[in-house]
Amino acid sequence: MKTLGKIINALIFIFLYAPIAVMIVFSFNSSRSTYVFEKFSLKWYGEFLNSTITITAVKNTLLLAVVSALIATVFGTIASIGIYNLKSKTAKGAIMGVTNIPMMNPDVVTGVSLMLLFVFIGRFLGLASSLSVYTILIAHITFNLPYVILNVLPKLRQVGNTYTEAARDLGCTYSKAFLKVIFPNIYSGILSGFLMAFTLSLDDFVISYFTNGTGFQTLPLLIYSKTKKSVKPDIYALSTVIFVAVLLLLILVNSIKAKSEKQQKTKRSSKAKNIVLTVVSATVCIAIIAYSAIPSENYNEFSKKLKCKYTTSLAGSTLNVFNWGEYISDGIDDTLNVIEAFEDTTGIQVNYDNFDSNETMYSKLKSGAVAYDVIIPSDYMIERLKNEKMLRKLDYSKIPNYKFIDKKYKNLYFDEKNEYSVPYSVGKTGLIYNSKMVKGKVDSWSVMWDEKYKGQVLTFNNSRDAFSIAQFMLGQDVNSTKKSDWKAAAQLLKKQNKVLQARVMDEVFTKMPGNNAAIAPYYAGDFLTMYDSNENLRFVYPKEGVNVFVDSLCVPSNAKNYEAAMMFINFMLEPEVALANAEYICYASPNTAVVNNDNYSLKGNEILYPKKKVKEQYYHNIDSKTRNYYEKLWEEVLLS
Amino acid sequence: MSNKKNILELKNITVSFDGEKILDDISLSISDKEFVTLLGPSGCGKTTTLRIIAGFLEPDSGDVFFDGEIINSLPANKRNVNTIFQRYALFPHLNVYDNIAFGLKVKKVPKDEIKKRVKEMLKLVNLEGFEKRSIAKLSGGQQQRVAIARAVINKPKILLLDEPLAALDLKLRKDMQTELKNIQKQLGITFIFVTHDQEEALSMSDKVVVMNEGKIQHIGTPQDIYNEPVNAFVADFIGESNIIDGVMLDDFKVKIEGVTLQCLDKGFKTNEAVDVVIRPEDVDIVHPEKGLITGEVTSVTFLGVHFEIIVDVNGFKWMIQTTDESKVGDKVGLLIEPDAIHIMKKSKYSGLYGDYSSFSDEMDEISNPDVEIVSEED
Amino acid sequence: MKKSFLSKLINAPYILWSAIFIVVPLIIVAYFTFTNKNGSFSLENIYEIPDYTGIFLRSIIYALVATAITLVVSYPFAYFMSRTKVRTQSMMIMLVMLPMWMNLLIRTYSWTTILEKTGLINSFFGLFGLGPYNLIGTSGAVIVGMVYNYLPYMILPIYTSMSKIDKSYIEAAKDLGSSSFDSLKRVILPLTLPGIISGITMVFVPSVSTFYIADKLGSTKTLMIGDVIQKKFDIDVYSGIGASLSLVLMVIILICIVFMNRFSDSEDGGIIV
Repeated sequence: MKTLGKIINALIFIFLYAPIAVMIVFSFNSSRSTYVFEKFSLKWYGEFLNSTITITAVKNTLLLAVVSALIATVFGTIASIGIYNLKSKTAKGAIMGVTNIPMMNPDVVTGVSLMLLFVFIGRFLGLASSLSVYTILIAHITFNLPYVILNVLPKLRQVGNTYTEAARDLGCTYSKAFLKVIFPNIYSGILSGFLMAFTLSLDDFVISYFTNGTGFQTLPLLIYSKTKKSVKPDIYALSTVIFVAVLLLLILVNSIKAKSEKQQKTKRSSKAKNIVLTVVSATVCIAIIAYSAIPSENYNEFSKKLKCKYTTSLAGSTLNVFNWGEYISDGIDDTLNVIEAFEDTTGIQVNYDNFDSNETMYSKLKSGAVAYDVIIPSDYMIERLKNEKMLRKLDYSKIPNYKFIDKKYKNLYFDEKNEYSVPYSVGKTGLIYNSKMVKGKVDSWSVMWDEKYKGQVLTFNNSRDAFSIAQFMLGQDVNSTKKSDWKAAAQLLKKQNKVLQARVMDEVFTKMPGNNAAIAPYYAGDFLTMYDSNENLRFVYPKEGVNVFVDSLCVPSNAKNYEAAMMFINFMLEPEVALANAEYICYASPNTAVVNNDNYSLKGNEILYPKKKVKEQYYHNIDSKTRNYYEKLWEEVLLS
Repeated sequence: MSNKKNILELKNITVSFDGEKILDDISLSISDKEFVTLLGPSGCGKTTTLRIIAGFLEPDSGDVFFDGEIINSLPANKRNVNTIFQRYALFPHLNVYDNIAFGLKVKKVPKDEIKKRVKEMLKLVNLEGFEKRSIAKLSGGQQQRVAIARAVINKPKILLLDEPLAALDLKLRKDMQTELKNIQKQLGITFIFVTHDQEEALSMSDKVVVMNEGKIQHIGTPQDIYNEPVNAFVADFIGESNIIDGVMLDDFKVKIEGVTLQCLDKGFKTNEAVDVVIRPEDVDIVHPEKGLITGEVTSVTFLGVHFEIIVDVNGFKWMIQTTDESKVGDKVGLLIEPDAIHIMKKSKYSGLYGDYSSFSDEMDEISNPDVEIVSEED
Repeated sequence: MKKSFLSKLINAPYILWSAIFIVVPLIIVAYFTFTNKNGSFSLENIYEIPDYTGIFLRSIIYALVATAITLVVSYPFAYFMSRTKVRTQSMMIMLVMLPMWMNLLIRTYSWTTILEKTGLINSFFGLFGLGPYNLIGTSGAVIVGMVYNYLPYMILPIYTSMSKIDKSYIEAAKDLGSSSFDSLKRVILPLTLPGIISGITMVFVPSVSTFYIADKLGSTKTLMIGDVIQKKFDIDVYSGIGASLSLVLMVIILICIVFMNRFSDSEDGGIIV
């Protein structure tokens, strides 16, 4: 019986710690893979310590957790006293019922409902952006409150009224009685309420996801955006550091507890005080370490390479940038940290946020939930934003570096007169396959229907890209408005289901290099990243045609810092900056200063810059009726 | 071997926790149908002894015999012994009926029989009609009865009772004492009863086992123990006693406070130092000239049936219980009949007890900041 | 008099806060459920709900399975843990809670390394010439993810109720003739029922509404309602259908909690946490 128990418990601990062990091991990986361990290396620890974004996120998270937990604790304690002293049972029941809601409600619903409230209020007050650091703070306080109350109220009940009465009898006023008698007795409840609130706030992702505004990214949100693409071990390194810190903290608290239990003469209150002291001091230590670890790189050398002069006239102002995840050179692996370089050069502070689809970005902008100064949407979305008057014309006189943009990428369909956008990055879809697993010549999308590769085929997990493949095979226009076209494409997609392993987006970054699948459609530039870790991968532009897209820098109509936005856009076109970004993103650059630069490692790359003409088509904005129709078809495809 | 059958026998039982000896070489035999009480202050090892009998604890050394067989490591659930726990340990998730039926259900006794026997039990403990009642809604006395019913329904050979009356108030305790005694007679089984209340022990038991510091001090009938305590500890623990240093001059002659008194004890060495026990109710207060010993009254307390008078005799304070009133400051004489004097050999407890010049030990304890009061035993 | 006035004053800010940030948001969710894009009353979002029956059912089934597994796993764990030395117990509790301090997303993501076709488990089987098995992208993977993330929420309440049991109850059971199994079945199990119930609630509620886990470890075929709601609001902040799905999810949770509360005699009448 005893050995059985030991075995069961050991197995559970293995289960609980397996993923954490994986995380720790791979944080020391010398390569960027989270699947294949190459060599021991500490480089990812350096990377995260050097990443302003990560450090800022850690700071934000700690700040938010401390502030929201403190406010919730004070507020919740007062509320508990109020609730405790309520005479009416119904009132008490009603308040407790409402208090319980955030605890029992699914986080998704709490997050969504708060977001709707904030957006509602924002629209009502006519705010440019309704979500901000304050909304996320309010949200955190709201979901922290019940936990504080739940910890304090039972203590109050335990203490009861006799102590207050005794204190009053001995001549205390109410407030004095509270401070001298009640507080010391409910102190442990308040403390555990605070700690619970702090922990919950620290770890919250779901509610933060819906309620955070411009430029305040917390760690869970950062991790979310990072795990959207292939996770790099830097986030594992960070998590390992957190893990070790928490472990040490807990051991410390435990040993102090054990010690004070041994010293029987130690009074209880001093025991509690010890624990508090350690917890608080440890938290403060972590915070100080986090704060002091701000990287201080020098950009003097770099600024000499810039083609344009940048004034510091806007120093101190804030610029909000909304970009795709992993779509800017961030300083990892000795690359240029573009955001920091810009901040250093101009003195403007940049808030940098990520989105993961054009539609997400659109809906956030449209709702007025957030306001940005620079966004980087794709072609068809620019068309839509322009049509809906959500973009502001650019002042090209302030963007002299626009001259570097290749003529090919000027006067495109979505911005025929070059008024609203500056191309940033160009990509194409294509077919990736594993040459060890796929035999014979591959030049057509049709291989994705080949039953030989049953269970080894991946496809896009987004409707438009998935449909486009079927549409190319059927020889249709990808922007067709004919229902019959979409219907036929959907039929074809349904046929594909039996050979599919999964519909994925960024998961291909792990699946293809890891030999977990043989065939996948994806974006040309991303293939190069995958190829780095698996040389058996191959890429083709299928003969039926591919989608080409241009992501461009734009300024939304409600931008607050237009001048800084111009400066930022111009800065992004600087040959050195554009080069760093092109190297980092691995997509084709529309910038001639990059394409012709001999230092550009991808110069003349056959995949990014094919000499042979590739049959390609842009997506256009599709009217909502057609869009709804194909979205319905898409759901049918998914469920079939 | 006596002609009465020994149902349970403990032989040289020793138990230690963390290097501290809780039971030190305990040997004890208990006959069938006997009402035995283990009596002693908290921490004396009485509950530990009970737990060894119940099977919750295995002795470090020594043997437990049940009906002549060693049962040292027989688990509790296989022993024909049942326990009434200190706070009853009635299962809070079960009602009265299910609590009582528990043991029979475990043994898979047919339902009809369970029903019949529970009914009998409820009748025995005067709780008919309480079947469906939840445990939380019972008074202390009712819980006590359920606990008895739950234990005895299993027809144990021995019933172990661990301070079962401690949680009841005085009046109820007295009633339950009588009732327990009746139940024991009715069932005709052995009761082993643990208590720290000497009155309870004296009034209920056939045999009392006085324990202290993990050792048995005295085994005997209530009368033996009261009248002929073996040492100062037992004399002090059982009732009130004046314990005075004395010298045995000869058989039937003892000298205390410089006065030679007649007594009924013999067999001591000449001039052997002894402890002399004189119960407070056995001393008469008389005129100083008529008394054998003289002293001064230092305190008088009226207790209803009698006065409790403290008399200072050359610095040693005697407690005397009498119906005659005296006043503080009175010079009085003390008169002691030979049969009121009990002589004990000196033991390690000599000099620790029996002087009423200070407060009781308990009072000393609560006034001493170095001593932590432990209210729970074990 | 003074005291009751004071207590009213003390309550006012909290009542105001919970009205604005708890009650009103739910009313807004209801508002979006019952209006169309033009803001007029409409049931169109309600009519769309049946399309998601499959996803709701899937979410409920996954959550039920995950809850059942965590219960089956946690109970013996808590049982054996409660029988170890006190020092060991607090050590083990610490170890159970420690992973909860790690970010859920990272912990979940790490599972991909373990479950992938070329992951740790398949490499292990590969040593014996077995596999590779398709682990990731299956409903099994999603359930493992949920069990993993919510296991402590089951262990802790069960352990707490287990350690609260007075030792004398177990001794009494033994004394009355129960074997270890008997006393587990007849005494420990019923006495830990409140812990079990709060464990079930604490695992089921987040499981049924989880997002990310199914997204990362599952496939489009294992999508759960939380993921759907997230996606709906991602592409449209004023998503009527998203609101209506949230409302349905809330009702499901409410029913579940009311149902669970019937099993326990929680005196507060609220939920047990």
